[in-house]
Amino acid sequence: MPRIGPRIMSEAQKIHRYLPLLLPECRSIAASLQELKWIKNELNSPRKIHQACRLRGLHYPLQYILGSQPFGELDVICKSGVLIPRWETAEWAQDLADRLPAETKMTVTDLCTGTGCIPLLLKYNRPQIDVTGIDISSKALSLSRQNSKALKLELHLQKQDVLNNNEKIGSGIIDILTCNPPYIPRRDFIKETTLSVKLYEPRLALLGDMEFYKNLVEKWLYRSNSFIYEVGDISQSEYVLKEIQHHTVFSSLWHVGFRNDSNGHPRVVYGFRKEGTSHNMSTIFQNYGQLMH
Amino acid sequence: MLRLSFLKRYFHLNSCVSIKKSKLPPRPKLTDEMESEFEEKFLHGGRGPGGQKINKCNSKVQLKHIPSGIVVECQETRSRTQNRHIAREKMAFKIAQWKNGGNPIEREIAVLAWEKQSKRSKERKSKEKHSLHKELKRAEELKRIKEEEEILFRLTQP
Repeated sequence: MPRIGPRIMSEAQKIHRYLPLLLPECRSIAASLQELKWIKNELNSPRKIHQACRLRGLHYPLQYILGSQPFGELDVICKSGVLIPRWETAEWAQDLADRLPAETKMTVTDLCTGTGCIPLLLKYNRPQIDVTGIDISSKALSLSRQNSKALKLELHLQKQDVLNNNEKIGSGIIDILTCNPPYIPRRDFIKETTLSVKLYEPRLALLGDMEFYKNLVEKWLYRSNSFIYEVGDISQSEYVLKEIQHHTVFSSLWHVGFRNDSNGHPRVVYGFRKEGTSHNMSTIFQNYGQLMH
Repeated sequence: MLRLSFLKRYFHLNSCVSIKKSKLPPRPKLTDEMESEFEEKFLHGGRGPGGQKINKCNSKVQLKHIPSGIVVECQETRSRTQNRHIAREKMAFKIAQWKNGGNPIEREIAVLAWEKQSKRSKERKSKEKHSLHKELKRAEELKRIKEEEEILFRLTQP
């Protein structure tokens, strides 16, 4: 990334003395001013504000500094060591929440739950559903427990390795299986991931390729009625589609669809059983994305 | 008739209507019909990869009212939900202005008058405070002079 020119630096210095600290991360004066405003709004002591600006200059994520990130209508607590919820995730999760029937009881399981943002947002919008979060990281579990308490939303939590011990997770059929797995392939990590993410967010929650999508097809399709997985790349969506299309049993049982985020990037692969479910899945997922199978 | 108008000059009252902040004309509201005429965009600094690869803090909301072509943007807060809300408030205001033929709406005029009034009342209060202060000071001065005179008087007295 190119350095910030001295002229812009001195111009920023004239506006506010902390602004040059923010420039390396925010890149423009307007964006830096915006961030400075948020920092000032949420931190009260001048020392803390200065410290925050210095950390931002070192590309430390703003959400870890301020301790929270808006997720739909919720304010989710964020701590170092757990992935910060993204707006893309909030977008598909909110749309999903709006589609769930208002009265019907359902079970939702969220794998790789992290802060617990997805199940908490669903529970917030549809209080009658039963939500469970699974994660392998104890930091993530304690943070999601903290979030569930702070937001006063009931969330069952379980520490499990999704890839190896999925038999031990939950029981019976899951109505909706959601997951935002680590999906950045190692080859893209250095080149495409921004510095702030590379340096400070947990690699456990970032690095991955097809593992979780393979695990979905092999282990979870038997025991769920629908699934929504976030993807980083169209190849991951296509992998799931191909696996189901070519499967002797699943190809006749499941519909599969792709969904883009509002920036036009492929963001979600979802699927639901054609029939035999207690809830009408096809009405829930009508126009959620583009049906491919 | 002539005398009456002559008198009027002397009895003229420079009264101003007091405006209460809680009783301003309401903020313009959005109707469902307007909502259907909107085109909403979420701008996150567009191109390039997204998702886990980038951690964007801002979420800009852009709202366009198609019949009038008014565009409103909002990125005041970190929350998209809140930004959408604020953008709609701004838009309702702009649409009301547009429907009024580009002239300021009732609320705007009232708010302006209220601001003027509060400024005036602030000025008046500060003036009162200052004059009170001056008076007190003068009284003190008088008292001091009196005391000094008394002392002088006692000194001159054998």
